[in-house]
Amino acid sequence: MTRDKTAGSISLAVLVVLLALSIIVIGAASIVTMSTGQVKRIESRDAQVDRLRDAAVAVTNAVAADPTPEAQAQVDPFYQQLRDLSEELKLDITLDDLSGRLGVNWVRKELLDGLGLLLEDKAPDEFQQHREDIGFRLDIARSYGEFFDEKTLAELFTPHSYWNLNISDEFTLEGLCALRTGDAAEAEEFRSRIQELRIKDTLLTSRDLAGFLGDQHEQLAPVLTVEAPLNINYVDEILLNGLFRYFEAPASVAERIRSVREKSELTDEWLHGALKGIDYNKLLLQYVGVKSWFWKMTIEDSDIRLEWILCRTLGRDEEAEGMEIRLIQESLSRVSP
Amino acid sequence: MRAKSVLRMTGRSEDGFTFVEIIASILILSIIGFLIWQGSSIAARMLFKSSDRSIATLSRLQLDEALRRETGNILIPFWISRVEIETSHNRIRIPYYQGDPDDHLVIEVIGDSLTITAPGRDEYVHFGPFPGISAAPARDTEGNPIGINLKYASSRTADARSEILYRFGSFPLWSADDSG
Repeated sequence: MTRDKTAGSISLAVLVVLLALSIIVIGAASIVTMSTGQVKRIESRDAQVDRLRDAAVAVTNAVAADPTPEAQAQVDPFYQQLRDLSEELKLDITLDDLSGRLGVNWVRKELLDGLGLLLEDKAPDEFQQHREDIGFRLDIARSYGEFFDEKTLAELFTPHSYWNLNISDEFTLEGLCALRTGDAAEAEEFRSRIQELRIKDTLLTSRDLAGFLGDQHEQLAPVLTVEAPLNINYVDEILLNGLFRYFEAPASVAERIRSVREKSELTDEWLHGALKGIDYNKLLLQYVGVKSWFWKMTIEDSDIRLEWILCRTLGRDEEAEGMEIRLIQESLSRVSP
Repeated sequence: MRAKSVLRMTGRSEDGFTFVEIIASILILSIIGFLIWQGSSIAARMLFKSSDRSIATLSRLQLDEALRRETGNILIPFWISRVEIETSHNRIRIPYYQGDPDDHLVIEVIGDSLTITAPGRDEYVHFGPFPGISAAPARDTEGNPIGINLKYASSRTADARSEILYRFGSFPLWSADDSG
């Protein structure tokens, strides 16, 4: 009857204090664990990315050290070096030569019409107007998806291509000049000078280019050239046949190119010889050459994908200085499981 | 029963404590209590400090990861030779998000916090507080924009400042004499 009502209250208080302390300790410990976990995760991710970048640098150096810088082809030794590296580092490495594709930012509407690559309900004029309206774009799938089917756009076109003054659409050349010099009036005058060249059927050579560009040379030279943007060693079969058809070159020559390039590197001399005697060979040779200008390199490990876009610097004395390959774009993404 | 009879026989009782016993007990309990209190208070302080640091580290890491990702999404095409990056009132507006000239990444410092707003997302992402945080476009020796420079006070000493460069995902061919 006289039982002490406070009996056991000390134990209860101790339990409550212990519980509160435990909650605080667990809370703080989980924050510390989470934080150190994240630090470790980021450190390990950085190490992974560094490993991929080191591999990318090795591949880039191998391409730049091509023993035949005057021509690039599937048989070049850097592809073997790439495969060896891939095996050694247990990485998935691919190198796409983008010089087998047409530059969507410069291609002439007449050629597009001739190649029959546009969707049936799209007219070449519409394409040209659309390009003028939106300007040059990197994301071609989003910007030009309405004009081509997905596969055609992905496999035959690229935004990574230099402008060849002799064959690029003159409005795109005006746009390029305006973009790089910031002077719209100067750009318009530049276009009319190009139109004059075309009326006279004059094709500029690399020796004429600097003189023709004058004051604009410094601004335009990094992206404007008179070198062929396509490398015959990589040009897709559809594009190769289309170009030969458009320039009225015999299909048998295209067939010969296809069979020879499977086994060896087509050189400039070989190409000129193969196209000799063809009416429009000079113009066709403005489109197709044997040099590569842009590459897309993809390197993957189990969960990270590194993508590099590389370009070959224009206007360089490659015989004396060698080829210069520059990184112009890098992206990292997660590999989907 | 037996114990009671023993007590009665010796005339001694253990009911209650003497004054000295109580004082001694209080003193001992006070010392023990004081030591426990000090110990737990030091432990708690260390724990809170450590978790504060962890939270600060975590939040810096989150900011670092987000800024790396988003500035990496700025893809200025190789053909571009000049880019206008709008900077006003601690707000930086950068074009060419995912290569699109019309899409902008917005980085804004409000007080000690930083917000990142990327196109196509309804909400901005807020990070902070980071004492003394500031952000500005980073440029190469020719003055071409190459990324974002972020500065904030280091967590250990108030005077020390951390400075990090977050690079864009592209490296345009700015001009003919550009060494890259």
